[in-house]
Amino acid sequence: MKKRTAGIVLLILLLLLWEASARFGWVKSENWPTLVAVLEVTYRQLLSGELSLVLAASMARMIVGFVIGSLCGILLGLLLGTLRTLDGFLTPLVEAVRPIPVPAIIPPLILFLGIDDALKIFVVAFSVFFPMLVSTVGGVRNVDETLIRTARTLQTTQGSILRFVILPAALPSIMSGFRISLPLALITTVVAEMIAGSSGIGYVIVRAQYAMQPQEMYSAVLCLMVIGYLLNLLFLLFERRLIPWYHLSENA
Amino acid sequence: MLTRALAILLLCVCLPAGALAQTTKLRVSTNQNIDAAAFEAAKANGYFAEEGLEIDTTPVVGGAVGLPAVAAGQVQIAASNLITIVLGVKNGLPFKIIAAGDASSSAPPDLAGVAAKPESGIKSGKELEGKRLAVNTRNNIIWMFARAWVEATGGDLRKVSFIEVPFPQMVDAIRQGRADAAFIVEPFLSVGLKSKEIEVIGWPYATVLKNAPISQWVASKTYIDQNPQVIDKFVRAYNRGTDWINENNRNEKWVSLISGYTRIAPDIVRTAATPLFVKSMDVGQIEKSIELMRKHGLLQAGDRIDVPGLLYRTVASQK
Repeated sequence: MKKRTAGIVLLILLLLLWEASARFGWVKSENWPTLVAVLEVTYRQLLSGELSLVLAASMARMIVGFVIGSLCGILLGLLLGTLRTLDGFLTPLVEAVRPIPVPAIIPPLILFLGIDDALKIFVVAFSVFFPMLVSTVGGVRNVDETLIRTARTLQTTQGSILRFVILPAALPSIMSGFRISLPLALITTVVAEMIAGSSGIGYVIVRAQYAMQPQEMYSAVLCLMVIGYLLNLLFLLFERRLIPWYHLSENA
Repeated sequence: MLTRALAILLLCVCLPAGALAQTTKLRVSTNQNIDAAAFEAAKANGYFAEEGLEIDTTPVVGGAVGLPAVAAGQVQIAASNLITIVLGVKNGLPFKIIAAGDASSSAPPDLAGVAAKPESGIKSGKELEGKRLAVNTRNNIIWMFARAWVEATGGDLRKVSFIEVPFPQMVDAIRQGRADAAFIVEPFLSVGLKSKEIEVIGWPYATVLKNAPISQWVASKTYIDQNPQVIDKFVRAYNRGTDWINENNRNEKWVSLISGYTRIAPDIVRTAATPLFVKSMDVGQIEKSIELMRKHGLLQAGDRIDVPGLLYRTVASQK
């Protein structure tokens, strides 16, 4: 609890520094508004519902992309983790495609997917897919061989082994994949909206820059910060529910 | 059989009337900056609706996704600029310019200028040797005219380094010494000038090519061939928008229209310099731009560009 208080104090100090630097002219720029001005705009736009609409549009894209990307990643990860031959066949391809930064492939993707939701959802799914795949494969590989052998001895079918032995044992690793890819999904959504957007929070950030409305831009950035923080909290709650045994040792 | 015959009969009878009454949906990609003023005026004043066009805009900010979207058939019409269009055509994409957008003026103040700190002593391309000149993107129209201006004012291009800074950050970049000068467009230029921390040292468009073609409206050749009437209607409505913009230059209606779609504060809109909104394009001006492209390596010596072929009849005619 004490740790948390110290963290909040630091956050407040930094925000105060922001306010002071803009108010007393330590940073001179039209692009550096005071925190108070930013909060004012945020409040006004939240009241008018404009900001909520924008955020909802982005979140919807992010969630759909995240679900598609992580499902594909987990499924293929389970396959690659259990079937050695398939693994040898696909791993070079996966390793070659994995490092591609998403912004680099957006322009050619426009030709195939257009500039609407399909593009953004694909891009989010694409960036979520690889961390999920890699952590699932890792999780499956690290399942204690004794567990599988024991299950086999007890005449358990291959499907049941996957469902009741491998999947639960790989779950902590899969969850850490989730934890990496969740903020990644948010970032990619915003980047995609910045490059080829006409709606969503990324679009609003760029538009505010070009309209010389920095308060509006920082208000969007603040919202992203809060969303990212809340997503992580939600995720931790979810994780404690799903793999309670994993956290038992921590508390002991 | 009978219904079919009836349908054909109906079609024959109703075709001329139907063509008038039916609304056509058009998806248009626009940049939400000053270049789109005539288009936004035509939209706001209902000129497109009067032609039976239902316009669905896909606004883009600071990006260049318009042409790929036209090539992919995602949008029918897009705003772009001459350099990007010519590069697309060179690469075999069948674009045609259907409406002229805007052009730079023939004398300052212009829609963009090179600015530097007053105390820097930089006044021309010559003094920029060994220094950094900021442009928004390499290999685009801003970069090309910045280079041409450096050369025209006595600078050696090999000694000037060009760095990329987005327009909204250019004034800050000069202020903090990250760039020694920048080629800044409106409204960022006039807002920066107000702070007195930067001053204009050159007007590349006026120096290099007066009335340089800036932005244009493009459709794919396939779409134009299949829907010539739709293009005619679009251009007719668009040109009325251009007339409206020119007739209402800087009055209150004009300021509120531009401030409305760009979201730029009215006070800034009022003081920013604007481009010339035009309805036709001059082949000679395009050829001069293409010459500049060759000179600065955007086109190779062997690249042939059919200039009259770039222009659809709606923009080539001097009406």
